[in-house]
Amino acid sequence: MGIHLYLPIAGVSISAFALLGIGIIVGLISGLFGVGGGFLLTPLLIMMGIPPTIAAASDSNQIVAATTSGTYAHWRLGNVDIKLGLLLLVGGFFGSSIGVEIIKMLRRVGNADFLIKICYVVILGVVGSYMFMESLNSLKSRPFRKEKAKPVVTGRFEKFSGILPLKINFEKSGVTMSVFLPVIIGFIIGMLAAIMGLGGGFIMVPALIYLLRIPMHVVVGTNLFQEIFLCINVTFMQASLNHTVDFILALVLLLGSTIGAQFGARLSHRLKADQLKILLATIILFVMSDMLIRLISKPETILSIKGAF
Amino acid sequence: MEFTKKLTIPTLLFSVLYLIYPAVPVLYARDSTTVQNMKLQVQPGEIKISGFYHGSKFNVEIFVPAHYEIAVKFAGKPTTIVLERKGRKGIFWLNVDEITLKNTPQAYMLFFSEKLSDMAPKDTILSLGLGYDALSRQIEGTGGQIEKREMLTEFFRFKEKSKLYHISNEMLQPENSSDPFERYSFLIPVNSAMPVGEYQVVVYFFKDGKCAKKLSDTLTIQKVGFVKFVFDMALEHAALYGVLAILIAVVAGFSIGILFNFLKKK
Repeated sequence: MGIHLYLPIAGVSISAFALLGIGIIVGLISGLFGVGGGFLLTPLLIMMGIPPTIAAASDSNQIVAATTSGTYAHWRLGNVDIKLGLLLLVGGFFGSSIGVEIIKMLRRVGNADFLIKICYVVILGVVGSYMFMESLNSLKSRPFRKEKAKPVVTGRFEKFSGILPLKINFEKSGVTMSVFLPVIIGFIIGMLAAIMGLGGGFIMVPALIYLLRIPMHVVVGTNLFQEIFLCINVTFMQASLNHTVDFILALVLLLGSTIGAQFGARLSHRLKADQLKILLATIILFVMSDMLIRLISKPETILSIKGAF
Repeated sequence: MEFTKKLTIPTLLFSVLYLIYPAVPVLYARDSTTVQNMKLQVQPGEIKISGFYHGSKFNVEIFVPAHYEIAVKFAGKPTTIVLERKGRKGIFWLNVDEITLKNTPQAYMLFFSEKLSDMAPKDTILSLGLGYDALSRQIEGTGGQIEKREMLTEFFRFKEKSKLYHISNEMLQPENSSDPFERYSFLIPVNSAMPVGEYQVVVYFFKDGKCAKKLSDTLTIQKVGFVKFVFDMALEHAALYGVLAILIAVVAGFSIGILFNFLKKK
């Protein structure tokens, strides 16, 4: 298809238009839902023939651009809660460090890739199904009501959050909670994201919505803000230690994704929160189904280069 | 009548021998000359990988005496490769073991003018490293709860899928069969995923079930220009490369953001 680009680190040649197109679609999703889009982009790049380790590392490089562009757009719209984002980030850094150690241990034990994939399927399945059903019910029962900030969820989680000290007010999000709550959530998601090799936006977004009851539009901007720093860290580590960042690949993807992110951020304001959630849930469930089918259907060849996902 | 018969047969034999005798040394000399004049030419001898590289092709030209058959082997350096093998466990397909294969050529392609089995005995073909059976002898495999033969069959299928291994099903046809030489000219495809390095093109000339001669030429695949610059930088100045990649991503993200904001205002 048209012009082909040779990717120096990946060592393969790919259609420039196909890469650009994928970048635009993922950027649109990123701007629309406030996720980095790695959960979608990495499998797509692998399907195009890019080695998995290079796909994941270069993906984090382009997410830096997409999230910067998306954050800028959301910041201008007043959707970024910097206080909340920084606390999530603190937890995220500690969590991801522990996650890296866990994955090392899993690899020593063997079949770490299978465990990661199962982890993906379960988390994506639970998050996607819950989001889909909840938003569908919400759309059916109150189609014209606008979303408002609600207090932190009721039940066990509320009891737990109630006993945590150092409560502060997050004006932008319209909630009051302990500083430890976003740190703990950041920690858990950072750990899961490191194990699964992603930015973790697709877990973070539902967690902020359902656990902390942050308004959808603030969730989107705030998650993008904290993902910039997480992906900067991953890009640097991957480039300096593993030499797996393909800058040319990232550059073409980021060209598409930054443009897509701008359209996504604007589109997110035109759609209702429940419509956004249903769309994201559908994408999450689609990726989960694809992963599950690959796990249970016979592969074309039973051999793969070690390290392939 | 009988006398005439007796006279005619030896006379005829003698006459034939007499007639061809002067030609024998000439034929012999011509044969040795033709062996000397067999030619292999690989063009271009170098493939440069630049920014818009999407695989390539190179031309192989062979001059061969009319009564010879040829086999052409294109092979990369032998390397060690570590593979993971999937197997069914319950309802899932997951990696069941790890296989290390030594002496596997990076690429391996074979083309011939006649079936290998018709050109020479099996032992000769195997000793020349022609075909997957010969490769199977050369490759050493360790690890994996699988028979070597089955493991290698899967390995060859895996490499063929990656377009790095290929054994042609079509026989090479000479373009010009004017005596005493035939000219073979054909293109060998180079997949964009073929690693940089030196590759050998070897042509084996067969006659009467024996390999009469072997000629070889080299094809080099190398990165040039910006592609080489980026590749070298990523390896030799990894930290700087990482910082630059991040800076460019941040600047690009902001620039696009500002540009869109500006366009919106307008």
